[in-house]
Amino acid sequence: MLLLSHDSKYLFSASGSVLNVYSATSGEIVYRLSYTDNSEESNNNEVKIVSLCLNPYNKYQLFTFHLNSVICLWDYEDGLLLKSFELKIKIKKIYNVKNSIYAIGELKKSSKNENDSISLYKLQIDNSIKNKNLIEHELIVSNLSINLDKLQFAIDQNEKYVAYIEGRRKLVINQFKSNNSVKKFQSKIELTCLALHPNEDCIATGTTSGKIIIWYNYINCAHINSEEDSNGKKRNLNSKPTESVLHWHSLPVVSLSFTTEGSILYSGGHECVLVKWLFKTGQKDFKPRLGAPISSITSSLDNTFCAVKHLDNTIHLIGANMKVVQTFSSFLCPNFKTTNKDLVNNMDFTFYPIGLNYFKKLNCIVTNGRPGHLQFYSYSSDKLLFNLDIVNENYISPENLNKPNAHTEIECLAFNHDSTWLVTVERRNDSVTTPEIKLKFWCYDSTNNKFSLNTLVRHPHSYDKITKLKFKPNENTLFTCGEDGCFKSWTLVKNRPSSIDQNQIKYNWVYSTCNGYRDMYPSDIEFFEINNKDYVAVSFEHIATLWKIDYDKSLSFVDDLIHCAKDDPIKYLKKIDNSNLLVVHNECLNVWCFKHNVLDENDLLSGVEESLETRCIWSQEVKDVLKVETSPSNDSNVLIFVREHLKSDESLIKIKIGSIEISNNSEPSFKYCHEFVQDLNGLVNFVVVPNDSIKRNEEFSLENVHILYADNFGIIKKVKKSSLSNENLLQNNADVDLNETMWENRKILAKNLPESNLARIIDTNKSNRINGEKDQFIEENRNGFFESNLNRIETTPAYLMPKIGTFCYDTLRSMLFKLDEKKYEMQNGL
Amino acid sequence: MSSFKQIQVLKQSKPGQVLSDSALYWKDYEFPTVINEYGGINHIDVSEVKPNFVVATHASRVHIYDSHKKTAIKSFSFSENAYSGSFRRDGKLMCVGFESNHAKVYPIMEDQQKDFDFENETESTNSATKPKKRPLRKFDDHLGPVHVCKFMRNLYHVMTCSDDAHVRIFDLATSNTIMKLKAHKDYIRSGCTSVTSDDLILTGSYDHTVKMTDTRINSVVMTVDHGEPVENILMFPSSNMVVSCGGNSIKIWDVLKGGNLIHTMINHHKTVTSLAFSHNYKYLLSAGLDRHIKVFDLANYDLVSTLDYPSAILSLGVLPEDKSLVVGMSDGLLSFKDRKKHDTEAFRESNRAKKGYNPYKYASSSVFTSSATDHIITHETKPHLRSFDKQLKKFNSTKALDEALSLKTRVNTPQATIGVMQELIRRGTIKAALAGKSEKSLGILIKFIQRNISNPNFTATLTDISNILLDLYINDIGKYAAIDDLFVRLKKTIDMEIQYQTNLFQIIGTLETIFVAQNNVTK
Repeated sequence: MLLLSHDSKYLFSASGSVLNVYSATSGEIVYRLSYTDNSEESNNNEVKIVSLCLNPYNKYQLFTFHLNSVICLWDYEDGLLLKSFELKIKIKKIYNVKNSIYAIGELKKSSKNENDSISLYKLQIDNSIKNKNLIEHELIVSNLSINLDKLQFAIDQNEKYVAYIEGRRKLVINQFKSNNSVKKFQSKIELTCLALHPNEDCIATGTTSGKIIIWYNYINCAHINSEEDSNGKKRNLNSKPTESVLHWHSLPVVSLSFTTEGSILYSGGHECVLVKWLFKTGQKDFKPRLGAPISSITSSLDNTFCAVKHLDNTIHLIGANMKVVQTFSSFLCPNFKTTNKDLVNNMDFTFYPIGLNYFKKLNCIVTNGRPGHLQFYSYSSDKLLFNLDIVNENYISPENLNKPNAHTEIECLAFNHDSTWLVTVERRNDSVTTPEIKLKFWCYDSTNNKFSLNTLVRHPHSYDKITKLKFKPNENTLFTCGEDGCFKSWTLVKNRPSSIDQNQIKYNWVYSTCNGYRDMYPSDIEFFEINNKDYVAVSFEHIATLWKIDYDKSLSFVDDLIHCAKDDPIKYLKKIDNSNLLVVHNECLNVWCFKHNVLDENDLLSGVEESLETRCIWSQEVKDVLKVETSPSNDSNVLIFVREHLKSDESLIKIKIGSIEISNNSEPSFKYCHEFVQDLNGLVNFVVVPNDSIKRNEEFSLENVHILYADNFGIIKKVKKSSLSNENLLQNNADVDLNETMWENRKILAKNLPESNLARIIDTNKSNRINGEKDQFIEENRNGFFESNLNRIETTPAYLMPKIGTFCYDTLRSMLFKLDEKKYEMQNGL
Repeated sequence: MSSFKQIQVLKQSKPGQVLSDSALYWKDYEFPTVINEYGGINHIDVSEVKPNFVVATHASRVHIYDSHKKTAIKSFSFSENAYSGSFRRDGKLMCVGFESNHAKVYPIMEDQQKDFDFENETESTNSATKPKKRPLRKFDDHLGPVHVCKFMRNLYHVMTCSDDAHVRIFDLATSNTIMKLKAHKDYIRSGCTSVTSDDLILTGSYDHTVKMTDTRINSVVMTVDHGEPVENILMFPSSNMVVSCGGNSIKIWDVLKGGNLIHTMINHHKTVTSLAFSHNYKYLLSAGLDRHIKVFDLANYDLVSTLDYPSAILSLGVLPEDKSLVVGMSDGLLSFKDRKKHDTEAFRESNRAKKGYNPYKYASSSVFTSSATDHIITHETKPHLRSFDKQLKKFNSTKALDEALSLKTRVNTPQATIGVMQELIRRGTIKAALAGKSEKSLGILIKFIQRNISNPNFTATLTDISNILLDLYINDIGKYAAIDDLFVRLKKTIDMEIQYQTNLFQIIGTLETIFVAQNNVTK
């Protein structure tokens, strides 16, 4: 749901329960507004927004229509909820024509009656704030046979008829005055969307085949089915409406929008191309490669631009010259609706195969974005910093949405210890041709925040998938696990300088070692340093193996750690404390302890004989482990995220967060410290990021970190801290604490507003006040009265402001005041 | 939004060893300057003092060269063969040994001053009429040709070794023999004096031994047996290690352990004739009759680099800071190899200036600097798209493939053609692009596959393409003779490739058994 304000300065976008207010010029988010229902049933949940429209009587107000038939009136410039009231209609969708608001929905209480049909209502709004029953509804058309999946309807400018799509192929025109005058026109192709011309009687409909059919002259023509025989020739003459076809799209047209004058029609679909049709001539203009499929288009009232919303939650403002003016994006959801629906609902399917990763240098989260891209998302400002193109391929929409193309996807990612190197693995496998796999090493330049490709390795593990990447801490060595049954190490070496500039030393990554164990597949890697010797633990199916790294970087096998049955493969390995290894099986947690023994020290010549004693010291059964994370502050504390199915409801899962702590030479202690319930929607990814706002203690506590998670809804959420400490069951569907951020965002508004003369004056005043600088000029011209007036303008909300005329004169006079005074003094002196 | 992304063309990675730093250091020399002399250059010495003169001894002549200009600035010619012309440490004197049992000492500096004075007008007359280059001293106590003649560290003594198996030390002031010792049983052909001690000398002889002599006690303090006639010896500055070469081996000896053999390097395949230390004694250079100079790292005695020369090398000199390598060869070639000058900014600037005025050049950033208030608009250049990229941008799969298979592209950059094919596979339009090809274009395509399928970088893609081709044209096979012929030829190529691979695997298998057996034996 996308809406532009009257003056096109603000853009409103509703996602879930939150209404985002963006400033169109700066691209920053101004407010996040959400309505919390306080009634008992809903348990303080925020309610999903169904539809939104501007208040026709006040330009600075906005209505949101919620799922529980509550309507909220907002002042969007100040981010305030002015009023909320309940309606008797369950609203499905709102359409705004001139000064009236039409709603499609059904009566709430009539749900048990027979005629619980969808009807069209006109909402009548009383503009006075005092009146409690602000909105009343008036039934216009009952029993609308509208297609509920598409909910495409439009009302003409003179408020005479409503046009909507019925079933799959029928376009219906329903005149308001008489219920009988329903006209149905059958189209040959399935209709997808509908737009009504603002001035003329003409309707544009999009079809699944990509054609845009434009219907004219439908008012005067007869209904095809009814009364053809009984009526005269006159009706037969134009019994069919005139149709014309605009065809460019090859995939279904998803959204259509006319500009206010109706001279231009915008259309968009899955091709990621915005098409601009000059309506009269049929000439077209394109804005290609917008990055993601288009889901809806809205054109602004003043014709300056149109807003395009994409499937990945990005919004583009595109100017009349087809240039992107502004981009709004937060956490991207790479759901392009081409993937199989069953797959999406699968428990282990995720749109973020690389998981959520924390990138230290920019304090942001890195995960999959658009196909072949990495998104760098700053959780503190809820903003997408940038997309990093990894695969460097054009996104090509499939020829048929049911047969998606196999895209090259990023499957693994790792940062090294100081975040100067990024490694990615991308793979394309269409199971027909040879899979393409590339291992890429990116170098991060912190001076200009750019990643540059350093080394590319094609088919690093022959043609098999890579399952794990891990950097050795404090060293430029990478280990990779592949499904070809071996794990390899890669090292950074100095490269021969090219003949052109020899002073520049180049570094490249080269293959170093390759090892395997019993024809099993490696799954995870962990590094140790015991007694100044480097060890690496590699898990092979249900066995964890321990290898020693020699000085020449070759590996020698030391020991294998077997504890569980063969059908319980190892999911993760995690180091606790440098001498303990946590082995996470599918249904079991084990902690192994390593002890370094020196066997024989007597004989100097033969060298010291050493051995490593390995012992399983602790074991615990556990359910489905989703992720294991070391807390950033403390080595000896590991967080475990466990998923459980709720018995009561299949579609809900319970997520538990447990922590394992090992203090010196004692049994590890394991306890669950937090749990919450979540809708089942694929795999849930977690990331633990340090909380900068709290000073880091030596003692580890969950207060010191943020835990963020994301599932396939495409929204990143934060585990609430209050709940973490209270160990209570709670609901945390909200992604942001609204009370907290609302006033913070207000400050941002002041920062992000475009520069105007008034803003400049306020700014200089403010900065002077803050810095305490006594500029000679400003000091001279300082004028208390004027400042107080400014303060008044600054702080008073617009709706509380007195009439401009009343204080304008004072303000203007105050600006002249000082000069007059001087003159007066001079005159006196003379 | 984002611009069209062009086809990624695979860069062919070059296999080969990764050069180490030191290897790069020794590869970093310019093309040599070569001077042709009359006889085999049997000795080269480099002055340690700043102008860094180089003295080369060949047959009956001794030439002194300027190492910068690479020209002879002075020449001595004698009636007999001269040997071992070498400078004193301060570069002011030079001593030369002669066939007729004596050695002479010549001045360098004063003489040269005069040379400069008279060079222009009277050079020819000078050299012809007045043999100005009179020796300062003449030592003639030896009974055989003097092959080695070196100044001692104290500047006043000269060590000479002769074919009469004697080592003598002369005093420069009186021309008298200070010390005389019959150290060896055969010709002494190499000797060197210590850099840090006034009293230690080292001699190597054709009796296979290297001996260290202390002049104070007038006796041999250490003897080692090299095993072959010793051609050249070097002493480390600390005098605790000695390098000797003879035959095709180089041996390093520990003096402090009483002549313990530390390491033997047999990297030359003919006699090693000359040895030299690099700057800072980090590397050891050895030259041999096999026309190579080999550089060893003295930390681990690894062979670091090999330099090739046109003929057998007799002598070798290294200028301070490894600025230049001076090599004398048996056919009279004297080669100077200078270290490359690395571009400094100023150097580059001058290079740029040389290129001349370019009327189409934009003002460079150094000429025009924007002020803070300027609104900077960067010039956007449209990327040049290659023909197949243009077609891909318009979604013309068939045309894109045709463009990629055009003669120029498929011959010069087969990797671009492969890139287009891979992109079409990615888009899922490869079948459409390959279908309905004319006989001629099918012929081109199959020939391309034939030629490139054995390239390991292309094999995977081209195998896929061939599979699709077979699927598409299976019905046409047997109908058209020309198409049949093409597919038969493709099959032949693949059969050959498979045969080749099988052979390779057999060889690998054989080799592996040998390696395993070898490892077991050593264990």
